[in-house]
Order: sequence, then C-alpha cells, then structure tokens
Amino acid sequence: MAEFEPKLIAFCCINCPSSSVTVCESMGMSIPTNVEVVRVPCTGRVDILHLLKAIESGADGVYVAGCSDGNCQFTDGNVKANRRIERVKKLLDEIGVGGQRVEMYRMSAAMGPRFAEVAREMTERVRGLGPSPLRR
Amino acid sequence: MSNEKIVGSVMVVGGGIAGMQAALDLANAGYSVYLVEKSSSIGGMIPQLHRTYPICICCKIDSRGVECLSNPNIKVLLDSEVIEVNGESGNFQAVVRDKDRTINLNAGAIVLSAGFEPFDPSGYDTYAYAQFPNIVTSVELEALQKPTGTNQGILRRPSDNKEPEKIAWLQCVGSRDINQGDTGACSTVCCMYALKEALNIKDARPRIEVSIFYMDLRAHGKGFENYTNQALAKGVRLIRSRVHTIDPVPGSDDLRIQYGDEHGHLQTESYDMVVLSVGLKPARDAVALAEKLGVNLDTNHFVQTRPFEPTTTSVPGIFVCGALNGPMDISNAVTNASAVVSQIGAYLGPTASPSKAKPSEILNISAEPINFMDVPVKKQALVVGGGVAGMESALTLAKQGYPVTIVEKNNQLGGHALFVSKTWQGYCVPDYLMRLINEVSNHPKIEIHLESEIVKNSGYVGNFKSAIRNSQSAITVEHGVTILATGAEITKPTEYLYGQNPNVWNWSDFDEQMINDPGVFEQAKTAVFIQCVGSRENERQYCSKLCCSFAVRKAIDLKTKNPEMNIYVLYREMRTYGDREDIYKQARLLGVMFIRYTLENKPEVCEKDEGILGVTIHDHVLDLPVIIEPDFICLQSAIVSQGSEKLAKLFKVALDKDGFFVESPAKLKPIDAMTEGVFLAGMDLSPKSIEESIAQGQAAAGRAMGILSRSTIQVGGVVAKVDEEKCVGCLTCVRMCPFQVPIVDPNQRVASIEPGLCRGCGICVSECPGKAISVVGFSDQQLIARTESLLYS
Amino acid sequence: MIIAEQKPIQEIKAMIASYQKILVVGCGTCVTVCMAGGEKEVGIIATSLRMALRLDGKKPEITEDCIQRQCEWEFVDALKDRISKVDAILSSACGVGVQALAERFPDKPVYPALNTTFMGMPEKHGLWIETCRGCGSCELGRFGGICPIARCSKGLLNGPCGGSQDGKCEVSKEMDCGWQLIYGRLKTLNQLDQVEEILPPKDWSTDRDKGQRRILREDVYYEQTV
Ligand SMILES: Cc1cc2nc3c(=O)[nH]c(=O)nc-3n(C[C@H](O)[C@H](O)[C@H](O)COP(=O)(O)OP(=O)(O)OC[C@H]3O[C@@H](n4cnc5c(N)ncnc54)[C@H](O)[C@@H]3O)c2cc1C
Ligand code: SF4
Ligand code: SF4
Ligand code: SF4
Ligand code: SF4
Repeated sequence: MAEFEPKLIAFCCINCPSSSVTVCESMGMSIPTNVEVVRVPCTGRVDILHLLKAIESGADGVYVAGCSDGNCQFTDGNVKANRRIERVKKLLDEIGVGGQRVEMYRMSAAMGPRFAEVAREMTERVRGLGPSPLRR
Repeated sequence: MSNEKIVGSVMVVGGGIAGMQAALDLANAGYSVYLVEKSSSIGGMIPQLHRTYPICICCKIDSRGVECLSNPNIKVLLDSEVIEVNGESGNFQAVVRDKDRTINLNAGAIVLSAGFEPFDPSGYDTYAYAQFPNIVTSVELEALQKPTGTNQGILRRPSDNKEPEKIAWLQCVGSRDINQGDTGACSTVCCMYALKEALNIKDARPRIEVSIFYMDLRAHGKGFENYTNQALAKGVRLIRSRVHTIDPVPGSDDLRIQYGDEHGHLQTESYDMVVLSVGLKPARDAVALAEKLGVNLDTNHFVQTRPFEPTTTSVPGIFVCGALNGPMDISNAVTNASAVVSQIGAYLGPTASPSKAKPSEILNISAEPINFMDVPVKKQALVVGGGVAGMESALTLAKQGYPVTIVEKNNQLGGHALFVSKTWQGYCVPDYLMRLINEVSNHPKIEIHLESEIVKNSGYVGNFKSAIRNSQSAITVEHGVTILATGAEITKPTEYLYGQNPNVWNWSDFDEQMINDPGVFEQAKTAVFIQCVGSRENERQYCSKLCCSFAVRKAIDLKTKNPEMNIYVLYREMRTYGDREDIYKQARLLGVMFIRYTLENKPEVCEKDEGILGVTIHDHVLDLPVIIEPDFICLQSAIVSQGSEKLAKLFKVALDKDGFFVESPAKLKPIDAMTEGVFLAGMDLSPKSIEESIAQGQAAAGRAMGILSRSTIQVGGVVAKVDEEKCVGCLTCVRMCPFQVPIVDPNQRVASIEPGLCRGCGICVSECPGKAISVVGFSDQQLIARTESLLYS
Repeated sequence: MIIAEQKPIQEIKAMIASYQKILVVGCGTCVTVCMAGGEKEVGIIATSLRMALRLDGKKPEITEDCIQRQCEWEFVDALKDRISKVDAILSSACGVGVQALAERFPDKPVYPALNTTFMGMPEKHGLWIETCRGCGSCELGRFGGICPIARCSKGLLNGPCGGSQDGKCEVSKEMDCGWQLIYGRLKTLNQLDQVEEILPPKDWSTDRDKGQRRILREDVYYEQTV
C-alpha cells in the first residue's frame, strides 16, 4: 500500500507566518502539497470551533501558525490562540480522536524555512498517528 | 527663478529605513518626494540583517519598501547619485545621475538619510581579520545566519563548513577609539546586536557556546535590560575584557583568544569562530555630498545638527535623519525620520493631501464588499503635557497652521527641563527653554490650559473629543490627533543616606544647586557620583539611560571650574553611547576617576562626626577597598513613570510593567500608540535625554501631519461588528480586546464596537460566548466553509 | 448569576448514545455569560458529540439551537417544532432550564450537558467564585456585605475558626478565609463591634429544609400566564 499522505489544515496569520511562506517560496522551498493554508487576520481569530470542524470535516491534523512570542501585531492574539488549542487538544483526547492532531507553532518571517519545516514536522507527526479515525 | 519656496517637493537622499520612513510620512502629508538611492534596491542595512532587536521587524521591511514604490507621491530613483546641488533653501536644483541618464529636479528641501557603512577591519592588523577565514564581521555573520543565505540558515564557519561549537564576539571594533583606525564615538547598536546574534544562535542550537567580550554593555534602550537578562538566562556568556591577541590554534582552523579577566589574570580560550562587532561609520559618499553642500560634520564625521534641533543641519533647508545623523538603532532612525518630516512641514508650510483609503494591511479573501465610511478630519491637535516634547510637537503643528490645545497639570510650562542646567553636550537648557516657552505661549494657534487635566475622551482617529477640567471650569475640545507627552519623574533614593545628610543629593537637587547656588562647588575638594541608584535592580529592571552622560557632563563641568577637585564616578556600566563617548573620554583625560562596582559590592556611605561623609567602594582592579571622604554625593536616581494609569485608560494606550506607555504592537511605529491617531513622545515612553525628547515631540508632530493634512479619513473595512440581538452583554469582548475597543454601555446593555477604532484582529469574535460578533471577510461561516472546501477538493 | 460547568464529553455521550436525532439547546443568559452553555459552547458540544459518536460507528443527526432563556415558558415553547422532530434533547442550560424543557415536552427525554454548580460571579475573567447560597433570609448586613454561609467553608456565623491563616482558609490555600474578609471589611467600616456579638443559631427554615421553596406575589400574580 502507498504511504499514507495526511491531509492537514494550517490556520496561518497574515503577518509573520505568511511572510515565511513567501521567504520559503523565494528560496525555492516547497510547502508540502498535503497542507492547505487558511489565512486569518491574526491567530487570535482562530476559534475552537474552526479547529474541531476541520477535524470533523476530515482533516487528519490541524495546526495554527502564529507570530513568535511577543511579536503579535495585536499584542497577544497568538497567546489567546494557544490557550484555545490547549482546550481542543483535551477535547480531542476525550473524544478519542487524539489531541496530538492539533498543534500551535510560532514563527517569525526571518525564520522563513521554518514554515516548510513545520509543515513537514506536522505531516510526519500525523503520518505516525495514521489517518484520522473519523476517516477510517 | 523667483525666490518662492518650492512647497511641494522634497529630495530624500538614501533609501534605508530612515529615508523610506521620511518619504512615506512626507508623501502622506501631501508632499511629492524624490527618493534617491545609490544601490539597486531600497531598505538599506535591514534586509541584510537576520532578525532585529528588541522585537523583530523583518517581516515589515518589504512591505514598507512596496509602500514606497507604489506610493504615487514618491518617485524612487534607484542606482542613483546626487551629482550637484544648486540654489538655496526653499528652492534647490539637484542633478541626479542613474545608470544611463541625468535627471534635473527641484526641491524645496533636502533630507540626508544615507545611513552608515559598517567599519571595515581588513586594513588593520590588530583584528587579524584578513589573515583568518574564521574571523568574520557581524555583518557577515548575519548573512550566514539568514535562511536565505548560502547555508540556508545553518551556521557554518567559512574555513571548512563545520558547524561551530564555540563562538566569541569582540565588541567595539572600529568604535570608541580602541585601536588605530577606530572612530571616537560608541556605535550604540553593537552591544545589542551582538546579544541578539548570540541569542538567536542559542535559540536555534542551544549547545553552541557563545561568549561576548565587551567593555561596557550598552543596553540603555527601552526593554534592553530585559533582553540582556533573557540572553544571560539562555546561557549567553558575557566577559568584561579586552582581547589582547587572536592566534591560530596550530593544526586546526580554530582561534585562540587571550584576555585579561576581571582580576587581571591572563586567560586563554579557543573558539571555532570569532565575530567582530563592527561599528557604524557615516556613509562615505554622503559625507562627501554633505561637505559639498556646506553641511557641518561632527568630530566623528557624522552630520552635525544644531543645538536643540536634532534633525536640522547647519544649512537651511537641509535636514538629516537616521544613522547619518549619528549611530542609532532602527526605532530611533524611524523616529528621527518622522521628526525631519515635521520640520520640513513647519519650514515649507503644509500641502493639502487628498484623503486616502485606510491602509488596511489585512487582505480580504472573500468576495464580500468592504464598506468604508468617509469622515471629515478635525484639523486640530490635543497635546497632553507641556514639557519639552509636548511643546515641540505643539509648536511644530502650530507653525503649519493647525490649532493646538496644550493641557498641562502644573501651573507653568516646561516640565522637568526646568530643573536641568545643561545638556550632555554642554548646551544651556534654561535659555533654550525660555525661548521655547515664549514662542509657545505667544503663538496665536496654541491654546494653553494650565493646572488642568483631561477627564474624558471619546471618538477615534480624526475625530476625538476630550473634556478638559481645571478647578474653575470644564470645556470640551474636538481634535483629530492626540499627543501624549506627560514625562516622568526622578525617584527620591531610599539608600546612601539620602534625606539624612544634607550633602547627599539626587541629580535634580544637584542641578538645582548648580542653577541657584553654584558657590558651593567652588570650595568642594572631593565629589562622588553614584550611578544606577534604583535602576537596573530589584523591581526596576531597566536603565534610566541619561544618568551616565549626566554624571560625566557634571564631572567635566566641575573639573573645568576647579581642576583640583577629586571626582569619583562609581558606576556599574558606563553607558555613554553614541558621541557621548567623547565626553567620557574627555572626563578621563581631565582626571575624573571612574570606579566600577557590582550589585554584590555596592558602595557604602556612612556619616562620621559632624556630618562628614565617607564612601567605601571595592576597587576591582586593585582588589582593595577605597575610602573617599567627599564634600557631597550626587545620586543618579532612577527615572520612573509619573503615574499614567488614568491617561492610559482614557486614551486606550497600554502601559508596560514599569508604568511607561507602550508603543503600537504594529511594528516600525515607535511613537504611535496602540490607538490610531494617538502618538507618544518623551519620557512617558521611557527615560531619555532632552534632545531625544525633542526629536520624539517633533516626530509625533510629523506622524500627526499625516492625519491632519487630510480632509477626510476612511474608517471601517475589515472590522468587527456586534449583532445586538445576540449580544448578552457578558463583557468578554470588552475584556479580551487588546485595544479596549468594545464597550458595553450600561444604559444599552449590549456591546458596541466603534469601527474607527477596531483593528479587525478578530480576537473578540473568537472569544464571544454568544457568537454575537463577526468580522468582515472572516466570519465563522466563511472560515468553516473555506476549510471544508479545501478538504473536500 | 448561576454558574455551571460542562460535563465531560464521554459522560454526555453515554447519556444520549442510543438516540439518532438529538437537539442541543443552549441558553442565552447565565450560562452564556459563564461560558458553559451559550451558542458558542453548543457548537463545541455538538461537534464533539458528532465526532465521538462517529467513532462508535454511529451517524447521529445532531442539531443546534440556543434560546434567550430556557427558564421561561414562552422561549421554551418556541422550540416546539424543532423538538417534535428529534428523539432526545440535550440541554446546556442550568438545571432550571433542563427541567423547564422536561416539563414542557413530557414525551421527549431531556439530558443535562452541564453541572449546575453555584450562584456566584467571575472574580477574574475565567475564574468564578461562589458568593451566595440562597439561604432565604439574608444576613449580609451583619457581615459587612460578605456571606459567611457561602464563603466560610464551615458556614460559621461566629467565625473565624482556628484554621484561618494568613487570610487563607485551612480547607484550601486557594480559598480566602471568608471570616478574614468579613473582619477586614468591618474594620474599614468601623463596625468591628459587630464581630463581638455572639449570634444565636440561624433560623434555617427559609433554607431548603422544608422542600421546594416557592414565592407567591399577589400583586403581580397572573393566572393566565401561558
Ligand atoms: C550587524 C548589524 C546588526 C544590526 N542589528 C540591529 C538590530 O537588530 N536592531 C536595530 O534596531 N538596529 C540594528 N542595527 C542598526 C541598523 O542597521 C540601523 O539602525 C539602520 O539600518 C539605520 O538605518 P538608516 O536608514 O539610517 O541607514 P541604512 O540602513 O544604512 O540606509 C542608508 C541607505 O542610503 C543609501 N546611500 C548611501 N549613500 C548614498 C548616497 N550618497 N546617495 C544615495 N544613497 C545613498 C544606502 O545604499 C542605503 O540604502 C544593526 C547594524 C549592524 C551593522
Ligand atoms: S554599543 Fe558602544 S560599547 Fe557596545 S560594542 Fe558598540 S561601540 Fe562598543
Ligand atoms: S547610571 Fe543610568 S544610564 Fe548609566 S547604566 Fe545606570 S541606569 Fe543606565
Ligand atoms: S462578548 Fe459577545 S455577548 Fe459578550 S458582550 Fe461582547 S458581543 Fe456581547
Ligand atoms: S476585532 Fe475585536 S478584539 Fe480585535 S480590535 Fe476589533 S474589537 Fe478589538
């Protein structure tokens, strides 16, 4: 059987992480095609429901890419997003889907390739977990 | 040609961050700008850097560049140089040449913003730079760190591509007159950038050992002390020492460093790589151009400015900003640039700028139309605080014809400067201050409210309304912009016998003494200055920034009047940054004694019979206690916020943990507050010297011009909106919005969000438990639909 | 306000697992404000349940609604049509709302998604504390406006006990000693003499000892209501 290719959704703030994407592209680094990016004005806009719905709709994993510590354009949207992700993890553990399928990453534009790295890291993690039990 | 000023256009020479900011602020205020850049792209030094301190602004530099290139009021001339300038103030004719043609342009004013060149150590044996490949400059290191660099961000040393395990930084290379070829000035930024480089390496590869060899750690800016503490906590090693020699380690590409430790013992360590923290020198051709224009240079060849006019050169109509004005960091360069713009505005007079779309940085991905609303701008300013920063900003705006209301809580203008005798350069402050107060008091466009305070504020950029109250009356003013310049205070020390012995002063006592009763100083035989009193320790983890230069200035003044006097400056770190280094050197030449102490070994002050003072300090070089019997002691006590909570709340501005105002989290806006249309200047942001406060006051005016020059402003766009039917008035949004925008009016019982204030981050939307808020383009339905379509496709 | 807390998803799932069509009903008053059962939480509960049940091989139809107040007949009645189409109701209101639904729709099983916990308020955003026990004869006036029944772990009327230390209660260091608070407040009010007074045992007859309590107001009572 061909190796399992996880479907990931990345909620990505339009500031640092989005410039990371540009830096990646300018360096000729590709973002894995299994990752679909949904842009939000700030990771503070990412709601618990958005993450749950993504999983419910068949994503094998979801992550949020926000600005690095202390670098949020809106002061602490990234911190608030992080707290919500912690709740989603707990919920998914309880439900039995597994909290490991969601994650928060922080990055700065200057760490350009970090975006590609994170995409691969998360892909590997989810590949290890196998397809979402909701898809099986 | 007539003598009329060419009101509308300005030539900016040098397209680094300072030049870009000047061009953008000028264009926003309606001027047309020629931005002349020597190289093939704008941005200057920053695009070559890997992240920046104190917060990283890398992701913003490109967008600033794009803004310049796409602004219809800015003409960017790349690969271009100014060949000749004729004419005079108000009407310059310049000849600019690019790769294949010459262009003639006319400009009412010229801005020099050509920045700096990093010091090139290759000509000097002392640094062994040319001999060994693994000695690199800091600029080269930043390139090696960059993900877009050759090694894709993995640090490898040049000789063999090995990943280094031990790296050393040598500070002050090319600065502080350390070696032949160096400039006298301290380059101001290299201590911090070395910390940044080391910290970034530690973050990426914690096992790499990083050591910085330095003389004084100049971490004097806002938040820098914390940054330093963070670096120390992450294992960055700081070694206070000059390195004698760098030798190759035989049989390898490693380098051996010899240095004397704090106890004078010779130490030897090997490193894989050595980084030279090179200083900032003024851009060479720009210096030549300045000379050709007849602009005076300072002792270190940076462009000189006039006393109390931080961006005005010796030639009328020619201004300077950024690192060509003296070594400075990014946020100071940006501030400097906005200050220049305000001075040009005051000099050339205002131009009417068309109203412009609110520059929304948020992209709208949905097809949903975004609604903007045109609101007329109240062409009037409110300045809170009548100190130097407040008065300078008021005057600059008034000169352009904008009515300004100044609100001062004391019974006179002047603020803290009333107690200052001289600047660190030795310029007389009382004269300047009297002139300024007179000009402000007599300006027909300025209305002054003394012994008054602001009790209410509402509205948003372009349309604020504030209530001013004094003991007799209350009035309301409408204003398009607000400038907060409420200063700070000096603490009264609780140690070193302050308040117990009449000859122990803090520095404002000292200056008052100098102004009112200088006779005391003629008889004195011995003086002691104690630095960092209450700063950089315990609850106040920040540097008060100006006290080092103050003490050095006073020591020089005392010594010049009375060469016999013994003067001791007891310091922890001598932070005479920039050309303040010149006076530090002068003081040492005059025989002022500088003795360093540590927190563990603070000086001890005692009172002997008849009130005679005794000071004991441990001399770390001699490793012996030194006992001094001074006639007086001057304590450089900490500068603290004067309690801005009320104002912060009224104007929706955040305070940091030390009680100073916080600038906008949107980067590269060092004097913008969190709320649009509110600007911050002077010591209420952080401790700073008079000239820096002047620059900030003027810069605030420069930023304000961008709003006041428009007839209308557009509000709305990507903003949050409350569905009143669903809102239960739970207050969640009120508490969670970082900008304090939502309010639940007790009479209305539901939340409302003013579109003029909302930034559209969507945080409240995701917190509202009643799902009563949505943000245009990013509603739950839209985001969920987007996710689903991506998953099903 | 009534403060409640969500039950674990697995517990909720166990209650409703045997039904195919379920309506989750939130309440737009107290439990929205205390973030346990408003429209947002209804969405989270419903989505979580759908996933949890799917993992058990089920494909339930879970729909969502949220009304202004679940403890008013008019609002509850408006759900009639939707409820007629489902097999069971999951209420994310307080216990009052759950019972109102049960009474109104006697043929539909109703389940609670929350544990209704106490009457209180947010001390900070996200931290709620109990401040009133609803004893039926309020004596706050004697205690400087701080209730010893709700806020002293032992409900002492003549406190504090010997376990009060550094302003904290011996039962848990997280908890302020209610009596310390009362003392401090009376001191500020210059009413410390009130502490000296020994109070006789409280008349608990107004508390819940006599079964369900009711209040009838003749002046507003209207027989015809719904
Ligand atoms: C290694 C290093 C690291 C640093 N790290 C930081 C940091 O982390 N944080 C921070 O705040 N600061 C840092 N700095 C300082 C920062 O680089 C400066 O504050 C900033 O770049 C100054 O901006 P500027 O616009 O004044 O000058 P520049 O960036 O030097 O721009 C000047 C521009 O003018 C052009 N020019 C020069 N001569 C002419 C001419 N004759 N005609 C036309 N154009 C001309 C140049 O090509 C250039 O584009 C660092 C500096 C160095 C050396
Ligand atoms: S900032 Fe000044 S003291 Fe620090 S390394 Fe640079 S020149 Fe030296
Ligand atoms: S004396 Fe003042 S300027 Fe100097 S290091 Fe101490 S706090 Fe900073
Ligand atoms: S968070 Fe929502 S329900 Fe609460 S006050 Fe704000 S808009 Fe209303
Ligand atoms: S979207 Fe909400 S949280 Fe963000 S600025 Fe607007 S009102 Fe504040």
